[in-house]
Amino acid sequence: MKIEVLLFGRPREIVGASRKIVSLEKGSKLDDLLDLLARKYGAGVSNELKRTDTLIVMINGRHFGTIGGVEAPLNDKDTVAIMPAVVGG
Amino acid sequence: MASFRDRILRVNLSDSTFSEDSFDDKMLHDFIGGRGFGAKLLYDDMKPGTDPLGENSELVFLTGPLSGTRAQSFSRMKIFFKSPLTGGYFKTAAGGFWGPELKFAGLDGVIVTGMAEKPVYLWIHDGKYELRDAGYLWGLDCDDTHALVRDELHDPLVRLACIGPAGEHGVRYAGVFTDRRAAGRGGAGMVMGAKKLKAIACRGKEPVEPANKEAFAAAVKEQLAGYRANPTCVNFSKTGTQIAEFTNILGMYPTRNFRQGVLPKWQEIEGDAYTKLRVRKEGCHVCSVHCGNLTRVYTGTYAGAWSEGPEYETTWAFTGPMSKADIGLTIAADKLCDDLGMDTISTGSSIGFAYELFEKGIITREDTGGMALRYGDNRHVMELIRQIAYRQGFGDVLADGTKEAARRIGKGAIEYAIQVKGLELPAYDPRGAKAHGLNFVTSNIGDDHNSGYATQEVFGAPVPFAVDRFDIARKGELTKWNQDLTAMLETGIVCSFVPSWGALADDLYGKLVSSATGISEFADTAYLWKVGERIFNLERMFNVREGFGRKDDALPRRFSTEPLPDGPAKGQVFEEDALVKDYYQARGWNARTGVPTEAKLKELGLSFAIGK
Repeated sequence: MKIEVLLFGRPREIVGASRKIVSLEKGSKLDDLLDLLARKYGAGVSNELKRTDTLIVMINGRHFGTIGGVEAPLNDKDTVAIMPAVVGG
Repeated sequence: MASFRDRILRVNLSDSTFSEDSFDDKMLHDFIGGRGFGAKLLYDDMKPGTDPLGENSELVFLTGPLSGTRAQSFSRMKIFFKSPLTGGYFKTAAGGFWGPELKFAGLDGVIVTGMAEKPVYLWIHDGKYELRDAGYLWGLDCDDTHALVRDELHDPLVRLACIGPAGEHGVRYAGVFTDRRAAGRGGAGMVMGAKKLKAIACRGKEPVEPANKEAFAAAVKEQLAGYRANPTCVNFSKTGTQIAEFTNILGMYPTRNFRQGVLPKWQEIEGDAYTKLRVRKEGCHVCSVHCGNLTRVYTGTYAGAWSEGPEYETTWAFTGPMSKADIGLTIAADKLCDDLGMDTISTGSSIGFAYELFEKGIITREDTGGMALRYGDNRHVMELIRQIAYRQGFGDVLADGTKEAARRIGKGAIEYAIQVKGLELPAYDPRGAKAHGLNFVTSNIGDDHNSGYATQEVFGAPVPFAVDRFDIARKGELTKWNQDLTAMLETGIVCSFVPSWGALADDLYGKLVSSATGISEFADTAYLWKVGERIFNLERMFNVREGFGRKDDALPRRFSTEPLPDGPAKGQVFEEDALVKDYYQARGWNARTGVPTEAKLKELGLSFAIGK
């Protein structure tokens, strides 16, 4: 299945792109996506992409913490946004 | 009470007289300071029915007990008044340096009453004060007013809180500006203009010493360590308040007068885009975060424009309402509003209201002086801002805010006035975050995000408990928690963002304020929460006395009847009746009227407000 990944701030710097389309096996979870990104882009930066305590991650606009955390299931054509922990307004 | 000056100046502009108050011991213990004092002073001094623009209205400028100390992020000053926009209790705040400077000049606050015959400004320095002629300043913008007063006083470090042309011309959402920071909302600038008070300038050198130096230094050390260890704080220091990418991904970025939740091409106004235009960082007195940004436009229509900001709300105000992501306009319009002295949220929202009226044919080019207000076309926005500030052309209608403008226009325009209690909504669609929206509905000043920001829903913060932003369960309880926490921390007038990072909880605030003032009971967190709830209820009673109640705790009908049409919040409505009912129950208020019960008022030590 194809997952659209939107990246902001430090995660964008690490990956070197603001948007990526990632292929994952059917039945994958958010953790699988973060693992894949960390393996591919995280070497040398202490796997920052796996440190979800410093990140805000949303799946289709829902905070991952409210829909199962890193165990949240992913589906084809989901959009996952990964951004630094922020506030504002 | 070492960190207080125990001096509040009263100025009557009608007869140019001065007097001073010291703190009443009971008020100090019951309300701590800052917002607590503001609520109590306004409740005691302003009789119900007082004309906010009349001689008897009061403008209360206050600092907090930690202002001017080494505690981080407590530089804000707050202004309390009856709003000419809402007709109710109001509070508005600005960061920067004015608050601490007033403290260094020997005062905790200034209460202004009466009306001057000719324009004046108040000069406070080293414990002394005088009214000076402001005739030559009348008509000047805020930046120029700062420059000329500093010239006149031969001191570039004088701090000012001033109004611009919008305050002088009676724009209902004119603000008060200090350097380039705004106490923008609710019309404090209009009240100041009615009093013919152009500015309050202050300068002083007396340091503010905490009562218990050792304990205070330890608390500040703990606060700084918390800032450094907090990833959200570190990120906020880099990017400031910009979160347009965030709210668009949530599908709650108000677009086309709150009819859509995603702005086309929002990527053009995300945080990184502003960082690229940053000229330098800016900060407030004793705050290591330095979240402010001076930005400049280099290309396009607005090349050469600059501003301190814009903050997220301003970014929204000049994009979403017009349905056009134009970063240049946000910077140019921000500076123009700062110069003219107007709240950007109400300005942008009022213009957005006009866009929808134009689309629906309720107003035409005849009304707007020839301007066609069409979505995706923002060419007339700068001109409309100028017209509003000077009450010229169609700007004269929009200068009254959307609620009153709708009354003047008629033809069903009120349906499209996006406000609560007369205050225009900020940059969040309440259908996308229910506790956030419930705070909009029940805030004592009208639609204000800062009275009880639901970080749990917008940023996924799990404190005091994790919630799904679309659920309505326990949102009354959560909203009360957010509002009471905010009221408690605003007894010190902390910057709104600090509790959002999770970097200032009740216990640390207790350590800071008790060691600074020497009042040990302020270290008790249960005591602090009770004060927060007491303040919120007293503000509510100010409004009850003015005739506010259940009918005023309401969003425009759009939010409960029109589901969001697209984006991640597609299909969501705001379940207002159920949410408000849950909230009144959590507050212990009358379920039908929304008035605090006698039992609740007695419990909070507010028996004096029963039956008023």
